[in-house]
Amino acid sequence: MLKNNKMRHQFNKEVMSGNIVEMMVAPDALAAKIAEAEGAQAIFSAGYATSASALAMPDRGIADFGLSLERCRQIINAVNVPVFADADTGYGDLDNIKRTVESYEAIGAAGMFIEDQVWPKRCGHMDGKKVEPTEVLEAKLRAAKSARKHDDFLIMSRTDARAVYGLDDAIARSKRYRAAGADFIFIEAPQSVAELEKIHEAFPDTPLMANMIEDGKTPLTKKEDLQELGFNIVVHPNTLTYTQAYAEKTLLETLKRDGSTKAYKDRMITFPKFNEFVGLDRVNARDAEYSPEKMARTYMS
Amino acid sequence: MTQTNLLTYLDQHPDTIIPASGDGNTFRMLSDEGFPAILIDGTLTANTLIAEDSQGMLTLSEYAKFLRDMRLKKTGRLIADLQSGFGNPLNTYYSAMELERSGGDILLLNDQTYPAHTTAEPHTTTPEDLIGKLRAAKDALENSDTQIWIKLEGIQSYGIEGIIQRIGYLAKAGADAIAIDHYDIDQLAQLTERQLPLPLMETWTPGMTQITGISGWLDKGSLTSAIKNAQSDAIKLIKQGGITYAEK
Repeated sequence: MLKNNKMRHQFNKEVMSGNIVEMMVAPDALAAKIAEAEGAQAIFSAGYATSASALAMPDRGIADFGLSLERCRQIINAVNVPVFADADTGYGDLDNIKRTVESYEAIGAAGMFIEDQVWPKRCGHMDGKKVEPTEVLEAKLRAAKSARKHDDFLIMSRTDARAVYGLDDAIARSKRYRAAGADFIFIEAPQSVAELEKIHEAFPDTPLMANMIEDGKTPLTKKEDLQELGFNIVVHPNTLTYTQAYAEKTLLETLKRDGSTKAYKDRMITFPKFNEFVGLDRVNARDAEYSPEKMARTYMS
Repeated sequence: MTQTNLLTYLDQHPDTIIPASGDGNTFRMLSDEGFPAILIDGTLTANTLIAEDSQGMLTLSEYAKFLRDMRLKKTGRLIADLQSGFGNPLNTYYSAMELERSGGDILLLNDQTYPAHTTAEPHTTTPEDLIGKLRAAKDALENSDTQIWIKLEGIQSYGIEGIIQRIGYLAKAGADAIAIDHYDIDQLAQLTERQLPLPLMETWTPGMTQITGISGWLDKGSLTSAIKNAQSDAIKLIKQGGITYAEK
């Protein structure tokens, strides 16, 4: 089975298994590779992290389709676990949705979500969000389902209506999104454990995703507890971005203060360990594999 | 159509010309015409994307992005231009991986030195380097249906015997087919008289005599040339119109 098909199939199977899938948002390919090495079951290429990493900008609808697709592609190519994609609002109307689905499927994403915010959107935990009428995302979901070539390419609906109209409206919308073809449901930014429980009660048989964002609207809840609450995927959207930013900031403060990085060195990966992690030995071996001498000996005698 | 079927198809239809494209409009028109494959040519793509006439000015990532965009528009076979591997055999390994991921069904590797140039008399690399690139490209492939065709561009420097020797090495190293560029018709006739271990393609330009014994013909950009000529005429008209208007 080719990698893309294998990853889609694996993700579908894991999400439907009844055990919660831990999905790390990776701002870039290196972070994704580290997350994979540390046991992440899946990677999420998501807007907040991509906006920060690629543009040093907030998640306010500035990062576009092309940029987000390319970042997701780089991540997919760097790892051997499923990669899920944040497709924001789908980047336009139904024609754009078709292109978005076809493109993410072609690069090997395991699936993608599309949301009901008004473009330009905001991070789900920011204030001032606006949502489209329910019919807009219903139509986008139908178009997305129609455009996908593989049933294993999972399409998730996301609603941001909790912040605008309350949880009941968010649940009602999500029921319509599910009926329109969403394979699973994401209600962004519930504000308590009771709300998480209520979401599961509304969707006892539908796979659900919970978003654990530090300093966000939803209380940070353990993976095991989320599984108990009936969630199938837990995503950590900003953890690696904030950790990267903090590490870089504190290192640079040390360098400015001391004139060298010596006092920080015990918190850095070493030169040989990093080279080993990114596969320098494998690349060097590959380079040597095609030496002129070897080619002459093997194929020109 | 499987890859094997493409070579079989060409074998059964020896006059087939595989058209080349490097822009979306031409690609879209060709896609509707039922050709067995389309070549996404590096030079033509360099023309379109970066307004350059030489393929080597176009980097792998720029080309691969265009290939992916075209892949979305067509389910049929695409021949991707691997140029001279975008570097040494190690670069060729990662380039082949990228072009297969981007939708290439057949990767066309030429025997120029890096960077490849769009010229009638290119510098060609050693057989050892070329074989290394071929092996690297083969090792990079995920799909067993993906093929590597080799475009040999130095017949004027290494001659008939030299090209036959290269073809022998390349067959042993796993190439799927050979394409010859920068030849004259006598050389082509001589090649068809020899027993070669691989299917033989030739590059094609309008007016060229298609001789028997050739498996297929790879267009070098005749549609783009026609478009350029039409654009040139249109530009003349616009300039003429502007002068007329100014004189009024």
